[in-house]
Amino acid sequence: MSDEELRGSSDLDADIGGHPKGTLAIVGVYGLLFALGWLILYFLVFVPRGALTQ
Amino acid sequence: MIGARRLALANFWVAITAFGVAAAMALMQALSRADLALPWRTPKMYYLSVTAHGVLMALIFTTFFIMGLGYVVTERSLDRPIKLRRVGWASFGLALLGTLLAAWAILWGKATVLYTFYPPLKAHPAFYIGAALLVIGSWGWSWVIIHTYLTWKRENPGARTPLPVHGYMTTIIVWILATIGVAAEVVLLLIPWSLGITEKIDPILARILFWWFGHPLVYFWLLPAYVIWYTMTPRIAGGKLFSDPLARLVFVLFILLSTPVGFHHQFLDPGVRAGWKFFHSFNTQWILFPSFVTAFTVIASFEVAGRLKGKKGWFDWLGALPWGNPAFSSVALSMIIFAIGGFGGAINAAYGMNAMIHNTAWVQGHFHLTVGTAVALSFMGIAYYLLPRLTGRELELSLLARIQPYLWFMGMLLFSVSNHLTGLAGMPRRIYQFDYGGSEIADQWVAGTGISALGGVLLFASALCFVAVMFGTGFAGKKAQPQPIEFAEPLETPNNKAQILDKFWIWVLIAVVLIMAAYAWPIGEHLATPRFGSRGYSPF
Amino acid sequence: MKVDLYEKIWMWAALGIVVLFLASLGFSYIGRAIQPPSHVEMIDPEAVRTDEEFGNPGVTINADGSATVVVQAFMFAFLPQEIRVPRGVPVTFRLTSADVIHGFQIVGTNGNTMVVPGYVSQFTTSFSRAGEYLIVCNEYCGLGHHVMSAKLIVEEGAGSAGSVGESGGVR
Repeated sequence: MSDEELRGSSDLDADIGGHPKGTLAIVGVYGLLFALGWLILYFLVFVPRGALTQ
Repeated sequence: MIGARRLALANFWVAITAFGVAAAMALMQALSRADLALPWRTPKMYYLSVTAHGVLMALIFTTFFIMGLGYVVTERSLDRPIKLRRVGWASFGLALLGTLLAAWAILWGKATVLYTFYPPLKAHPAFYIGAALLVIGSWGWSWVIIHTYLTWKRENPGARTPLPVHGYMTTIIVWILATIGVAAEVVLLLIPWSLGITEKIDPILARILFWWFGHPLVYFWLLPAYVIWYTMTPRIAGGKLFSDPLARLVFVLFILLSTPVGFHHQFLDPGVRAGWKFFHSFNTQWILFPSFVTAFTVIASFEVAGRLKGKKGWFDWLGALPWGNPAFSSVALSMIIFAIGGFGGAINAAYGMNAMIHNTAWVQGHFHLTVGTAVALSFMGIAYYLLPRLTGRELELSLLARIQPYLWFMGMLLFSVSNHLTGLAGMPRRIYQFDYGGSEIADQWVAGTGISALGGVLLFASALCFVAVMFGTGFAGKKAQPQPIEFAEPLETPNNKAQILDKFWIWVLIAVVLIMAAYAWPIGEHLATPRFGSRGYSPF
Repeated sequence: MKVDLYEKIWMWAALGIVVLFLASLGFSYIGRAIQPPSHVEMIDPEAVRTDEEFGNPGVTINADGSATVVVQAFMFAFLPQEIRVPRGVPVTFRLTSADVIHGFQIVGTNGNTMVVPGYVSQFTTSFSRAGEYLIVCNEYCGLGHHVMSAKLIVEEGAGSAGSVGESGGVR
């Protein structure tokens, strides 16, 4: 998809009164926790347990 | 009333029955976790019931439910009768025969090989033949849906495929690409070997073929749940689908990414070079993307529902959603659970970190969130919606139906979070006992297993509610004029032209190229290496 | 294709998360040479018990101080039952199965591999903490699966061959 195609839509604004701000907040927090959880497991559990090599 | 009504219902009833039996098996296992000295509690019964639970839930309940839902969704959204209904009935018969054969072998203790059936564990031939018949039956069903779709396409040249069918065609494409692997494993390796025609089997080749199938299998389960989330739940919530084209993009990404990823189940296998595992791990991480997009689109569709009811704040629209309607609450709770399950999945599929949790209790914790809740609870929720509409009866015991999703949600949180933690602490999956000669290390798992047992009891109570509502409605519900089965309208109606995302052949071609790169090459390499085979063992 | 501005923001963020994870995989693989047990070596499962190496499983301390541990897995035990290695030296595990597929997991570490008949599993790691570790079979192998375990004892020492057997500080 091209950049012009990825634009925000004004039709949506009229129908539901703005962009889905609540949704963005929920998934935003989720995304942060997701990445944070990964980093925590990686650095605080996986790395201290020792590396496997060939 | 839809024409394939009886066919759909027949599939649903097999699914619900399998679910009920499997849930009873699960209760035995959950109590086993609490280490109670129950009279039936022997290693033989435990491993037999783990096998039965896995096969009945993951293969029988899901497949039959997906077939039944496929008939309903296809007929309703194309607004034309299902073609080849006789083929549909024959497929149902074959799949049921296969189910009965495999169930006999398992319940009579002749196939305690778990639902992964890794050779050289050797089951009775009836188990493998039953599995093959189930798959052949599902292929027949696939053909019925594809044929109906193609007939609709001829009648509506150039028209946009309705989204529910777009999702179901994706499901079928993923299923066919996946089952090539297991069909090869079962027909070429396992059946001749279990019948004594061949003496030895290569366990790694069998595992490669199994996981060619085993990972896309999870998307065969998940995609119909996504069809429900995208096309049915927003309507039930009183909203509209937030984005139709992005839903199609998500479906197409699953066609591409489902299969060339199976080695992330075999990270710790000898005999497969590290580079191939890294390649599959790389591919797998991309699958996060379509599911992240799904989270946004579906939640935004719910937000639309709240906005249409006049809610203006950041989160007040959440309160305006129909939390008392099990067809909605089941999906909303499924999505919360799937958010956690997705995180665990990313760890499972991580090239290095997998070793930290491979084959530990973490794994059963993980897939009970994904297939065991995101998929199964969504199916239960939509069953509350569909059964009255298909049988022309009112939902019986509706109070039980209302609390059931919440019971499942709580039970699964207890079961699954505790399993993730005990898994991280090193407890293996699928063990009858974890005493290990009084090991102090193993003793640290006890708190977690106790909590998971409690979760299991709640889950069983929830399963009982579901089965009671289903049979109560199906056989004793008050006759009523059935309401129509309706799909969510997109927020913006797209034009009615077929777009590139509707042209399945393009995506199938790319998917085949990816599968060749991910599998044909390593399998070729493997076959070219001199190997030893294994005789069969049946230590059960 | 029209995409709402907020959803577009989220899609870029999601892409960012995937790229972060891929970077971490790449860093493990290329940067730290981490790889899961992916050894390719075949052995006749019916000859395991009489094999020169796997028929005499045990620990060897090599000239450079590193250790090699040879393990035979079968229904429902590991041989040797007790493995003693020095702390802080590279330890290479070599394993195979005489019958069905087993798992070999050193609880509390990343030491974890499938043990498959017909194949030799191999991985190298080291243990920074002295003490006793539980080893379990983590792949269902029959009705005795839950009793299949062994012990790993990591011994304090200078990490040289001479220190093996001394009970420096364990317990």
